[in-house]
Amino acid sequence: MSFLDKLKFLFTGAAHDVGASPSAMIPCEEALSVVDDFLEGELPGVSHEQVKAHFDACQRCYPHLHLEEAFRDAIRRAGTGQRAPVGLKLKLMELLAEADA
Amino acid sequence: MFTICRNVFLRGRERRQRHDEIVTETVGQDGPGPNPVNPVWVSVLGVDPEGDFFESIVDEHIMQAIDDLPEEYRMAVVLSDLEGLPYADIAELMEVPVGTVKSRLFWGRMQLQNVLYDYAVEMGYIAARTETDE
Repeated sequence: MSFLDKLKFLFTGAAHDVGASPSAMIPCEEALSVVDDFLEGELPGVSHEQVKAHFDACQRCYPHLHLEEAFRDAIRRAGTGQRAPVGLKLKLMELLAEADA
Repeated sequence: MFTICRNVFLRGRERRQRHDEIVTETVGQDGPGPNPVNPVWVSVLGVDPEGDFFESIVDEHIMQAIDDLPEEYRMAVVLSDLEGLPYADIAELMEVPVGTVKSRLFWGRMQLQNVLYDYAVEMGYIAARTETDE
């Protein structure tokens, strides 16, 4: 970490721009706007590495990503061994049958 | 050197203020809009930043909460979060554009997060954040 980076860390309280070149670092607003797409692996117009670099470095944005992950883990856990509600399953089967027709 | 330090400090403060604005702006009714963060997360971060309260919520309650979502949101959430389908496949199944799928997922998940948060507070799994915590 360069002297300037240490100064940044000291005065901002966050590791912004540390570990990534300034040109690759995206702003908080952009990172937070693509949290869902990042977790889905379907990012539009920005690379996975750029978004990951932001969350790795930004102490204020990372907790938001962590909570979204915890939320999705809870849904997946709840759905393990259980299937979609019967009404929804019937509707999905209808849609699949229509798509096949 | 003093000027550099002052500028770094001012930029950091400006960035922090901007971040706070991003996460506290009101979510619009027409879609995710400029604020992609569920305001309830701001409360959760104040009392359970690791999101441990999700571990305490029984699976049946989560499934019930999903079942209670409006159909268009429920279908998008189930296909994405339970079945793991990509946006394009969900869009094809639901016969809507990918943007609509993303919007439905956003609102469905937000509704689900709010219900689960309220439930966790009610059950005492997580402390409700009060004005004095601000």
